[in-house]
Amino acid sequence: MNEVLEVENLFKKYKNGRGVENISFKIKEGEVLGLLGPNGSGKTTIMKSITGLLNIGQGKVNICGYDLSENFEKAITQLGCLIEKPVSLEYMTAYNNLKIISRYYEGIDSSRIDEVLESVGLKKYKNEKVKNFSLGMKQRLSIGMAILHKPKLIILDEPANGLDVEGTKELRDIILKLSKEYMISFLISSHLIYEIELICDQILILKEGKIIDRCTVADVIDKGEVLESYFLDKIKTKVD
Amino acid sequence: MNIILAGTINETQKIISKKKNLIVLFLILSIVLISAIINIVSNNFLGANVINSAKLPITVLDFTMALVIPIFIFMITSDLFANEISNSTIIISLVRPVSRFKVYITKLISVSVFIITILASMFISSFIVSMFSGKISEVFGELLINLYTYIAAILPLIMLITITAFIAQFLKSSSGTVVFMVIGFLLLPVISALVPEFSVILPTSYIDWYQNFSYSSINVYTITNEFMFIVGYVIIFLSLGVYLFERKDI
Repeated sequence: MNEVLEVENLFKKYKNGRGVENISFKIKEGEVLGLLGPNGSGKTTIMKSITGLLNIGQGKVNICGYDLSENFEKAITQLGCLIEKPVSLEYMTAYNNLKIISRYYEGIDSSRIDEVLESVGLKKYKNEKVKNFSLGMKQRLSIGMAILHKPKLIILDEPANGLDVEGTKELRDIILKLSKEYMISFLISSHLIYEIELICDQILILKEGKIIDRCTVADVIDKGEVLESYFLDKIKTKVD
Repeated sequence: MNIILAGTINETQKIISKKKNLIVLFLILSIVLISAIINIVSNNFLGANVINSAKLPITVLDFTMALVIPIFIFMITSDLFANEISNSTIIISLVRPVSRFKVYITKLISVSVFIITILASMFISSFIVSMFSGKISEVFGELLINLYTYIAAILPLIMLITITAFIAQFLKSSSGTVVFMVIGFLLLPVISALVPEFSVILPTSYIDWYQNFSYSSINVYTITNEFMFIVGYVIIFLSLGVYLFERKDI
């Protein structure tokens, strides 16, 4: 399988000294990688660096063979994302939010927009302004905005935030379908370990801006452990 | 679709989707209507126009350029930069196959297009109403001068747009940017009045550059000299604004 994302020695420090260092990992086609870590461990910093929202100090980010810093427009075409919180233009309708994004890509017509709205369960609200949406609906719209252009890699930062039990299950089904049937890769962070366990193939555990462990969910289960206990044991260990 | 064109359409759609922008546009156009009403009433009761009908488009332009249009520019430019950065909606544009330089440029183009549309609406509406309140031969006689003056008004406004976009890179809120720009816009002319030597280096001294075109004789030296200053300011603030925007952590 081809590598969709390759992160090499990523280094990003903020003025307060926090950030991430020496971050290296790869994601293959169709793979779902979970980022686990306590608050402030650097999950969002890694995701923002991969999407070009942060200027990285050192390191390389390669998306589908394109270096992010040297070939930004080609690299970012292969990527869709939802970072930190659902972001949409609240004074516009759901349809127009997707229409705005569609103009940046070739070949996205109104039928594709309708298809995406259908897949995230917002088809009947397509002409309603986003400011009237619930948090869960905004979250679903943001996911629609991330998958609209059929990217090869999707980055989701706390995607289940604001979703109810039913919405969380629907989201899980969408992710699993896209990864298994369409070979789309995912990088997902979530504080809901149960969700990570159900969705992800591999896991990176972060603490204080460093990767302290990488494992497969299957390996943890084979050892007879629960992912939550495994994670808690790992983050208790001291970082070098 | 060409990425610059796509970005410009998107940014323009954002501007016209906000009710407050359309209300301000309506208010600006109502100034034209009020001027025409003043003229018609004064003509009926005093027997003469308060405003020279042939010069009505210029009078309206002078009035709106004094504060109304600059404030409108501060509002929509800061909305597209400071406001989008503070509420993270800028991410919608930044994670697309478009460089930050192009995002910055498309925002400036869309504000410019919107302001040009306002000027065009003001010119057409004031030209039409001036025909109802004055001699048609005089109105047509001033048509070309008025048209040149309106076209010339675009350049200083583009300078204001680039300055506002630059200032928006430092401030975290849209309202903060508007307040800062309004204070600067009102204060700088006072400084140039108190210390005339500073006048030549202050961008606010060139906002009325278009007035050079509203006279029957044109001073080429002054126009060229001031033109160079305005273009210089556009280049400086555009370069600095792009530099800061490209290095900004979102």
